Amino acid sequence: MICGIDLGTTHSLIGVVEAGFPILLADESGSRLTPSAVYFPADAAEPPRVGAAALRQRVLDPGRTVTSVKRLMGQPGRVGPRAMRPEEIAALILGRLKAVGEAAMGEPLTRAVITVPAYFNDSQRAATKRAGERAGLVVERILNEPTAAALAYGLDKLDERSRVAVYDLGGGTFDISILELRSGVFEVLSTAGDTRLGGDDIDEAVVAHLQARLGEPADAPARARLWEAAIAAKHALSTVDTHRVQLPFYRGTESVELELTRAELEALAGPVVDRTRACCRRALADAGLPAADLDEVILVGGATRMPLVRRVAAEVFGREPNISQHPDEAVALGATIQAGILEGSLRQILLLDVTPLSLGLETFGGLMNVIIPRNTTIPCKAGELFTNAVPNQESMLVRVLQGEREMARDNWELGQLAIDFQPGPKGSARVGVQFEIDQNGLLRVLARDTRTGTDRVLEIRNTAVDVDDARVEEMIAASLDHAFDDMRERVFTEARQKAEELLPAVDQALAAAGSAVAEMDRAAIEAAAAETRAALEAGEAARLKAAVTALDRATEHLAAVLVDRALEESLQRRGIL
Amino acid sequence: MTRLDAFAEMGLPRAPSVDAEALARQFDALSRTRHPDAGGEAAAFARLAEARRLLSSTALRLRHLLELEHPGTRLEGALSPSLMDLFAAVGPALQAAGDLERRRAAATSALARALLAPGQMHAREELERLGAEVADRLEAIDAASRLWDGTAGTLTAWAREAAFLEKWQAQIRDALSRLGL
Repeated sequence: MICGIDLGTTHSLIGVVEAGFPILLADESGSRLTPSAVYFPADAAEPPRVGAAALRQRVLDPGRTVTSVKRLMGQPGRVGPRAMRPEEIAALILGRLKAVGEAAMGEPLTRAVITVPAYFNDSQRAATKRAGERAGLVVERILNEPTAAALAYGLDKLDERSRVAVYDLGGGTFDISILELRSGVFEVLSTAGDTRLGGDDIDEAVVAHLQARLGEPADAPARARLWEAAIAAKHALSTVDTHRVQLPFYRGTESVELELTRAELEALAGPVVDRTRACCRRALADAGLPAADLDEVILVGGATRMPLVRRVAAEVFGREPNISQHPDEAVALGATIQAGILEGSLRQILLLDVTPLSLGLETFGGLMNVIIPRNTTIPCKAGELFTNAVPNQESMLVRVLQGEREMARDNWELGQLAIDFQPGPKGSARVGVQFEIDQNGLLRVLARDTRTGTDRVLEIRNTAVDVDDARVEEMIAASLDHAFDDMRERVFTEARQKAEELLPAVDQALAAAGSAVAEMDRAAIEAAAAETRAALEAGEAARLKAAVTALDRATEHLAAVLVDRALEESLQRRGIL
Repeated sequence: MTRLDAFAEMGLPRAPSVDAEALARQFDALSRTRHPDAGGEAAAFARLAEARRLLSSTALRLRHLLELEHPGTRLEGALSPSLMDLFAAVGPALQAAGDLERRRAAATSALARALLAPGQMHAREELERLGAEVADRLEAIDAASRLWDGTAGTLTAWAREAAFLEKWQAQIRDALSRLGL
């Protein structure tokens, strides 16, 4: 039996196919959601605790619970009170899921399909696979989360033909995938995303906002409660318009409370959610489809419960999104369905996925030379021929990269490849290197000896090394020393740059808008501009920042009027209005 | 590795134009036996997917056919004057869009971004107009190629023009998606 696992940033789930149906398994308290949190007791002899138990400990014993470890997958460095690699902590979560599944099924579970964000690179995928193996699982497939969600959506529509977008905004990652469903064939046409964008970023913005209004929490437990209150407020404001945040004993014996409105939350979350727009547009462009050609836009991921997220998705795709899928469970169900496909119990479905990132090599000039472009159907392969640039060159080192930027240094370096040459005159040695990306999106590199015709797997040596702890502390200490000076200077510099941009923009915009601006608004804008000029003259950082913020706010409506007018004129030119 | 004949691989007749529906049907049917999840070999599926890639793009398909039918033919040559005119319009339009994108990314206030909106709209309209023209020309090549006389010369000219057109098409799509609003 193969199980399906959704290893999420915030929580994780496990499922199996039983009697032809995918089902998700619950733990002893009846919960299908296991929080992706691990608590490390101070006593090193005590085993770590995973899930809801770890979250409870976060408030009681702060600083010993690790959450959102998925955001660090595939990166060097160690985290948590026991200085573990991210994949070691992920393995603990997977081990807990395995135990939940085995308890529910009454038999050992040793094979798994594990989901990852579609936009995960090779290092992040490989780390997830290793985490599964460390937890005692044979990882049969690394599956992309939006693709899994599409399987869950399409399972009962196998006869249909349609094009769908899956908009997956989770706790820590965002993915957008465009798929074509053709009578049981689920083919991904394109995918885009951001592996560092999710509900966590909204939480951070809410916490910063609450802190600005309430002041710093007195101690670590108060800080932990502040986080919980921020998350609770975010959740509540998906269904109600105002929410009272109450924090007992926030500063010693002092309790605090305030009211947060949905409009305030949306102002805080707006910049985060707006970052999904560009990804959506790129996915559509890569699929070669206008948004109007889609039949459905499916929302999954916990953050898509927010009305703001639904509005942004509706705006980008020009249609009301489909919220028929359970935001927390669709990916796990899809992983379970893929497990069923691999077991052979769901035969009529075939999944065709793509590689999310271009694979390339660094050229001598430091450019990225793409070998396999993004959105190529996997499994796939591409060859490259290498030759010696100087006589009797013994070997050359090649950097292997993933990413979309032109300069090699701006992309993610997977590692270096050592290619060995036979001695001979310049250009005489020829080594064919084959790059293969398998169904998991994982890369394998083979070198072919042209004389013997044999292939040899080349190891990609990861050049990223753990920065040692002493050095890290040194860096932190150094930055703290100057933090205060830096802060004041930075605030002034940022505010000045913004003022220098805004002041001429105000003059230009007021002239352009003409009578479209009410006299009162005009007066308010001019007053705010005058104060900004005065603050700039005086060189006062705090005053300038306040003035610029006020000017930004005073011109918000004017900006919206100008954008609307540009849009209207454009529609008129195109004869649509 | 033996040279791939994408038409044979896909079980379709060798021709400059391919019916998209037939291509999708063949690809799906063959995938169901060649994909590793269906018991096939990764290498066999990779070949099939590569064949589809070559056949679904007009430029790649014409070039592939040229290599199969007239190996060693070179694509270099002069572009038709009307294509040169199109090129003269595409280049500046892409540059203007890129310029706007950079200014928009650098702007820190809603007002500064709003002031760029009219320019963005003009850039978008121009790119959409050019995109439509490029698509029309590609379609015209595809339509003409259904009546191919079998000579290398016509095929070469089409392949060359289609290669430029598809490159511009990708650049225009990319620029439009970055332009946003």
